[in-house]
Amino acid sequence: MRLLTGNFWIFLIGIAVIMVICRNIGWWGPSLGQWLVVQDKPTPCDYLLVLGGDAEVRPVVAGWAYREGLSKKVLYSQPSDRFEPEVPFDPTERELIPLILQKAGVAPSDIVPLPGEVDGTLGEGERLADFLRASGGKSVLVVTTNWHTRRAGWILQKKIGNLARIHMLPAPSPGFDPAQWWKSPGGLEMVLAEYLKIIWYKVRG
Amino acid sequence: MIGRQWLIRLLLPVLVLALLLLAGKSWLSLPARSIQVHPEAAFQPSAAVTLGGYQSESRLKEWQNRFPSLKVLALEPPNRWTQEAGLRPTMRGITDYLLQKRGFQPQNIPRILLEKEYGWHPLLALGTWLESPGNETEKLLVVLDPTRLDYFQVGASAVLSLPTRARLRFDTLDHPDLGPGNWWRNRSGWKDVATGWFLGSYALLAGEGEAPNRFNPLDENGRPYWQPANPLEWVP
Repeated sequence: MRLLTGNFWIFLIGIAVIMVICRNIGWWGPSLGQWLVVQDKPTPCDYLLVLGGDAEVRPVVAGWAYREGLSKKVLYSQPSDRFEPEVPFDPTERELIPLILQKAGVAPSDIVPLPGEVDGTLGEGERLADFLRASGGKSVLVVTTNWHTRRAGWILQKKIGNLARIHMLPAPSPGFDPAQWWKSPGGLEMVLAEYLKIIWYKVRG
Repeated sequence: MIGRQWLIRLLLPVLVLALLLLAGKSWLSLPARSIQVHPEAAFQPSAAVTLGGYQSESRLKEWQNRFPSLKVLALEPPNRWTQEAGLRPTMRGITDYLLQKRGFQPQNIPRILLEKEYGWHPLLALGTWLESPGNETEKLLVVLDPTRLDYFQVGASAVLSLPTRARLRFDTLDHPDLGPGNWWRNRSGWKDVATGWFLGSYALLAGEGEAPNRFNPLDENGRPYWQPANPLEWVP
C-alpha cells in the first residue's frame, strides 16, 4: 500500500508539472519554434538552391532572391516520386518547381536541376556536393521552409564540407507560424518531429 | 534478501508480459483496429462522399455497387494559387478526372463547394448539406483515411447536432501497410497509427486548431512576385 501511495504521488506531481508546462506554453513555446529558424543576412551567392517540399512556396521565395540579384543561377533538387501519381496531368513537384521559378521571373536558362533524384535532406546534401565538385562555386543560398532551416543548414554544410559556404534563406511556412506552432495539429507534429530529427541527426552524426 | 516492494516491481512487468503473450497476436491488432471503422450492417446509406485518401473514389464505387441508388457527392476545395495561375489543373478538373476514372459521370455528381479545406470545415459543409431542405432523411456515408478518423470523429461531436450526427457514418479506407495483422511490421504502419492517435488526441484536448495562413503570392498582374513583409531586413 505504501508503494502504491508513493507511486500515486509521483504520478500526481508528474501530471501537475505537465499541466504547468502546457499552461505556460505561450511563454516558452515561441522560442522553441523560432530556434528552428535560421535567417542569414542575404548575401550574393554563386547559386540559389531550392530544396524539395512545399513546392508552392519555396520557388516563389527563390524567385524574389533572384530578382533581388542575390544569385544568377537557381538550382533545384528533384525529389523522387514515391507513388504513381493518381492524376497524370497534374505536374509532379520536380515538374512544378521550374514552372513556378519561370513564372516568378527566373530566366529559363538560369534554372538548373540538381542531377539525380533525392529522398530527403541528406540526399540533397550529397547531390549538392557532387554538383559543386563538378561545377565549382564557393557559396550557396539555400531556400527552404523556415522551420527546416536549422537542420537543413547543418546537414548541407556537413555534406559539402569546405567546398562552399551555405547561407540560409527561410521561406514562410504555409501550414503554421513557428512562433505559434502548438496552435495547429500540423504545427505541433512538425515541430516535435523536427526536434526528434535534430536529436537523431546529432546523435548519429 | 529482496524486499516485498522490489518483488512486486520485478514481478509486475513479467506478469504483464506473460499476459500479453498468452493473449497472443490479437492484442497486437488493437492499435490498427482503433483507427479503422466501418458502418454497421444495418446502416443503409442513401448518399456517400469522400474526405480524401488514396483511391477513395474506388471505395465509393464499391458502395454504389452494393446500393445502386446511392447518391455520390463530391467536396470541392478552393483552388490553390498555382491552380489560379494555370500551372496546375483546377480542383474541378482533378475531381472530374478521378470520378471518371472510377466509373462515375462527373456531370451527374452534385458538388459541395468548400470555402476552406482546413480542420472541421468539410464536416460543417456536410452537416449543412444534411440539414438543407430535401435532405432531412438522407443517410450519409463518409469515406476517409484512417489517420483522420479520430480527428473527424471528435469534430463530428463538436460541430454537428445529435440528430444530424445520427445520419452520418464513417468508413475508413484499407491500407495494405495498416492491416491489423501486419501494421507493426512496417514503418508506415507505425507512422499511421501514431498520426491517427496524435490527431485524435489533439482534437480532444485542443479542438480543430487554428487555420494556417493561406499562401498566395500572386500580384495584381497574376505573377507570383512575392516580397518579404519587411524587405529592409532581407536586402543586403
